[in-house]
Amino acid sequence: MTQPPDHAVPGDNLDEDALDNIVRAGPVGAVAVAGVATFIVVAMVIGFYLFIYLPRGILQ
Amino acid sequence: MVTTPPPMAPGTSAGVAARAEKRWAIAVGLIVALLVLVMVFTALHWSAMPPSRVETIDPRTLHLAGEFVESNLGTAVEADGRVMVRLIGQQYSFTPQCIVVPTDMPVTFRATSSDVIHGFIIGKSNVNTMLVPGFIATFTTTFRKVGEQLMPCHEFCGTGHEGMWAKVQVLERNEFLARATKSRRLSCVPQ
Repeated sequence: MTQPPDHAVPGDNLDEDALDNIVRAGPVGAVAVAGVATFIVVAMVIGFYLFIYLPRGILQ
Repeated sequence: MVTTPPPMAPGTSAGVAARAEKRWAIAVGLIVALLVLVMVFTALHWSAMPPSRVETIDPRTLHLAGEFVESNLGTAVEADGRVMVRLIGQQYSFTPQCIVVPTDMPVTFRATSSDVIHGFIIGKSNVNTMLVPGFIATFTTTFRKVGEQLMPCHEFCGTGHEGMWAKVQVLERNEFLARATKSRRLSCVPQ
């Protein structure tokens, strides 16, 4: 059985330049995850507003 | 001579990260502004306020005088044509036990409790509120389907809570109006 080489451990021997390159590419993944999560929450709030709060009507 | 750009300059990793954070903050700011705007619009458009109109009544004299005396409970078509239902919740029943309402007409419920807090919910409609002694709960809704719906108390009110329920009979609008001309108060008993 072959052992994986040491440098296969992610981030283990990452140098500053490589890290810099990754950050410079922009946080696309983070924005995607946070964007989807935020979209779901906002969609739920607007869904409640449109389909429950408005049809329920004002309490007199 | 090699010049190093300032840490936050565009194109540097710190600059990209700072710009991404700024954009995200703006996006979140816009979402918050939108939600506040919706709230302000609804508040002004409907004059909706967090505690809806608070109307009080003395629960000790409910049965003696005022709009919740027994002869005034149940469904009636008011002089101005509105369908009004008045009811009382008490341990462990609703009065009246069966309520007649029409389809496709706004129905206003006015209800209160004579003892403890009760729940007031009607089957699959959007009617859902609490009956608090001393306060009048008001709710206007429109029923779309003919049929019978269950109206249980859904706020634990004591040992007999599970037996506290009433029925709502939704009649076709014309049938309801025909019945309403015959009697001042409508009853579930077939006429």
